[in-house]
Amino acid sequence: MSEKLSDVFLNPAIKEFGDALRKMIMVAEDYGTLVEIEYTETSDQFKEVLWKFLRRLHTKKYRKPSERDLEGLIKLVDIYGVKQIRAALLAHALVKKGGEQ
Amino acid sequence: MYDLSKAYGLGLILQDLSSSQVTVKDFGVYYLIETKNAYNLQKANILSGLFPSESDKKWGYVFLTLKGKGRMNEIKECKKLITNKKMIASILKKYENIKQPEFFDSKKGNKTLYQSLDLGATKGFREKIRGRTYHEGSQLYIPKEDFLLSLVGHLNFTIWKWKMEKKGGQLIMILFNPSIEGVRIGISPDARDITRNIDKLIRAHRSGISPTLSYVAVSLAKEISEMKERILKFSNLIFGVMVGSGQQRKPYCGGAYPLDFLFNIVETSEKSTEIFDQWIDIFKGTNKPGYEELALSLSEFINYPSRGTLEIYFRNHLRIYLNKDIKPKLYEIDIMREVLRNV
Repeated sequence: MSEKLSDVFLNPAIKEFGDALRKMIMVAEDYGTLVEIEYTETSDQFKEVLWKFLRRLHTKKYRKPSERDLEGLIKLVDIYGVKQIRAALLAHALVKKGGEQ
Repeated sequence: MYDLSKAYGLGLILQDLSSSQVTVKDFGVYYLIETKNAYNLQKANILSGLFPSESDKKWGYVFLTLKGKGRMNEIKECKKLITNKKMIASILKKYENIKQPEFFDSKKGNKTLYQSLDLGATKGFREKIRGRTYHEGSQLYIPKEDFLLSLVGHLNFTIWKWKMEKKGGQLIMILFNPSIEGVRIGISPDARDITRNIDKLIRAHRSGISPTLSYVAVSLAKEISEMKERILKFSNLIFGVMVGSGQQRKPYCGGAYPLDFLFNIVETSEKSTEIFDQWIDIFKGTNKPGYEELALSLSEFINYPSRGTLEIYFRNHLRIYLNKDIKPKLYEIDIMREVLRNV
């Protein structure tokens, strides 16, 4: 299904997971998810990476996105496909937060 | 390149002689040059101002294959010709109507078409080979009038950038091609001002030809986005690249670089200048060893905008951000949204 990437980008579930991914990469310098997400092609593979990502967040004691956001993200993957969601999540990871250059 | 340089050359001459705004439009098979006032041939002596001083490095680019005395003689002859009323009258008469380009295989009364004026010149004048021994073709020659027009165009509108390498290096030539709606010459800011600004601001990108072209294209789009009115409408960049080979320069590649994606951003986004600033910042910041991948992937995205190329660019941006001391700028959220909106 074709949807403007900018609309997917604004979805609250994408925003929550994108922010968590960003924190994991920028603050914890954990590149595991970034590498793994690159090789996901199917929605099953994506869900598997998502599961590992949530475990990493738990280990680092970072705030996890809510159940509702998780369900929302999985639905979006089924509707729009992995590539679109992957690009939207990476876009959030590249967004500047307060105090950054 | 040669045709476009002639169109710009004629536009500049008409602008000087008519003291009015001139428009250059690309109609595909021909360029149309329009002026509001009639021209005055008595003012031909002011045309000397269209050529830079003899020591200007631009002469070195247009006469790249000529050295020392040969180059100086050619420059002196061109400087004489540009103020010659007969020559200018002949040029203006010749182009009153649509005229097919002329090429000759004999030098008699003509001038050499150098590869620095058009890469295609190196192909030479080919003849039918049936029943004859094949040979590489003879040098291409063009009428003096056309030679002069092309020189005026190149010296005022071409951006030359050296990409230095251990052996030889590459010389990239870039001209901004007008659209069918055209660009103006004469009232500032015009096509020449924009070319000069960009020429001053940028350097060839160490990552290659494609990032250099993207850097120029984004800089052009930024200049256009900052204008209150879209008075200059370009369609693409015409470029040619020469490469050093022993003592000679040889043609390497050439073509047209599309501007549709960038101008679409100019037309549809209120944040276009900020987007271009962000990308210019990346091209500037990555012009050093170790950052090539980021410049290449951004250039690939701008040249072939798709979700696939965007994602590759994002991944490279993140990797460089994480691994390098000098970090490329992150996006403001509204700028990121605007980038995504155009993919």
